[in-house]
Amino acid sequence: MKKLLEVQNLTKIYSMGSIFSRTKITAVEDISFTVGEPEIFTLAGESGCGKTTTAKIILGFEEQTSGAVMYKDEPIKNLRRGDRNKVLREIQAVFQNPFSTFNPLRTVDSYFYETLINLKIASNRKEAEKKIAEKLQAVGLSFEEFSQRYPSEFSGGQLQRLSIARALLTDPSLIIADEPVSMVDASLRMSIVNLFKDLKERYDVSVIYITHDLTTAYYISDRMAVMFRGNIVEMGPAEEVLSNPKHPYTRLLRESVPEPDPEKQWTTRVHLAESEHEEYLQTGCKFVARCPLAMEKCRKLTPPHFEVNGTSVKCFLYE
Amino acid sequence: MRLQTVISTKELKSYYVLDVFGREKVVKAVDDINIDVYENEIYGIAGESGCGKSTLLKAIFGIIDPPLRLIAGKVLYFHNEQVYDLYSLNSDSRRSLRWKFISYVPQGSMNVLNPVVKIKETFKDFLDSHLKGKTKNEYYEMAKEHLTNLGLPPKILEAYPHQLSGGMRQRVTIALATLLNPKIIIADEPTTALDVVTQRGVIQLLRDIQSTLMNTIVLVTHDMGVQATMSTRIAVMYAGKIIEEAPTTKLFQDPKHPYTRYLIHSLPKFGDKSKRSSAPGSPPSLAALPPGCAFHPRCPYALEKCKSEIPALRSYEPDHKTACWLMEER
Repeated sequence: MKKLLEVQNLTKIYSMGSIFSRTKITAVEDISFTVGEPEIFTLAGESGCGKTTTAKIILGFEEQTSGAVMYKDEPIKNLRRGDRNKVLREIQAVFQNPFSTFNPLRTVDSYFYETLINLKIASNRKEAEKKIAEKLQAVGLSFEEFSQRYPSEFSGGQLQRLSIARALLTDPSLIIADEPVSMVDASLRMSIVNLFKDLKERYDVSVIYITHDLTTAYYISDRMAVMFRGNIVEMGPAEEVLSNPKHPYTRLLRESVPEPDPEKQWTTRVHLAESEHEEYLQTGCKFVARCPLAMEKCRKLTPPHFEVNGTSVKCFLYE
Repeated sequence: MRLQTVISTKELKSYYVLDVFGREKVVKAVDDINIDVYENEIYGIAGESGCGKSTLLKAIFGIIDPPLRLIAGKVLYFHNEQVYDLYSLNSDSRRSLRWKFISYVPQGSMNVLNPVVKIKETFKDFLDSHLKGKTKNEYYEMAKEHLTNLGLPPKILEAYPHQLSGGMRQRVTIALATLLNPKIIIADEPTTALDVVTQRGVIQLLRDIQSTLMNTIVLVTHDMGVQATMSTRIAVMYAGKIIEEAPTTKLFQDPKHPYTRYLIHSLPKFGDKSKRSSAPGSPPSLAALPPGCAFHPRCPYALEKCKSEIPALRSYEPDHKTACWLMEER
């Protein structure tokens, strides 16, 4: 498998508070991963684990504190400085809330024409229309039900399809989808998830799927990384990570998913952290306060990644 | 043994009546609902956003404010061998039932705590307005005792809301709602917007409350996973109506209504990568419902009859009610 995107030792530190009491929050701490071509790679984790920050850095919305993002073996920073349009064409994004993706006072199709003209993909309207019709078809919508309409005339599911179609206009090699289905109605959710699978299989598009929902992650992804407080604690093939979780945090997460099966009930109880803040500042392993198997050294030393059965686990248990 | 009914709705209709540029627009959010909730059960109401499930809860709790209007029907409370017809009570007697008999955890309730006072002040104010005639310290003691009973650390009483995590705030509001040991707790999406582990903590708390107080919980959530783990009986709502009602295990094993089947079979599961598909089309707007069964434009099995006549919610099997013409044809 060819490497498409490589993230190397990425770190992002945010400073918070006033000048008198400045605290530093490490949102992303020294993470590395690669995305192959084509592949669906999932970044999973709870809120505040750094998954969205990672996406923002890849998309260029945020500047990293240290580390690098390589796109086709070249630092993405240089690419952006050189031919900005080329990067925009290659990497596209789909966001969480389909209702706020589009301006309610503008027709949806204006975004499509704008993208095509600005990135110099189509030179005239006729060419643009052909391209749009083709992409709409890929997401299961027709040109007739789309032109000259405002966002309020579409349902959430349709809007999310439209924002995927818009991302496809540039024939990207990589789509970064940040929680694309969490705001979509339950009865339509799987149609959007299936769409990403389709894109990979039919158009060879790689997808970075960012989610907190482990069941859809299991369903579509080839490989996945589980993040916790800025670190990747476990990474490997999705099947292995979710069927046979190794890190105590992944185990807790996997076990806590309420499964749609009344026969499966929890037999153990969970202990919750009172405040999330303290875990960021924890030295050593961030999960130590809640880990049932914590050892003395987990408090002091940051565990490195260990290879177990094709997955990489950031935990001293596998030393 | 016949189960004791605690809440019952009779042909309940509650619509939003909006005035759009001089034209009346009617949104049929709760349309002809008949449910009976029994003692000591967790009654789940499932459905997608915009199907009317939150409005149904508001109507049950008695907070109907314009533009929402009560069009027809009754809500009955059964308390201390007496039957109260909610909408014929005066505001004083309605108030006396609230929080002591029935309490409500609204959606996004982790944001209801006053940000500028400590948690203990919120507890004190709540107790003071309902019990009266006790000193500040007695109220603090009661709050502390209640939190300890629920297994929450009493030291959070000294904290301000922003110092607590979302999950803890959510559990504090649940503690607040159960302070007067209500017989019924109605909770609107209590675990939505929480992380899975936190969600599990909140579910754990609600279940603990239910098993110690032996009371009833009416749980509204769109998440079928949460429904499966918590509820004992589930009603599925679609476009303002209940289309199926059955005990949880039955509903998951043998859903009858085509919509419920889509809802359950489209859920991805661990260890099963077979293709899942969603129902075609999208949910209708409650302001412009199709004639007949509201699901018929999306239903692959729709009959001629479905396009014109609305099916009634009937028992075709013991404890299992369905509103679908297909059941009639069998």
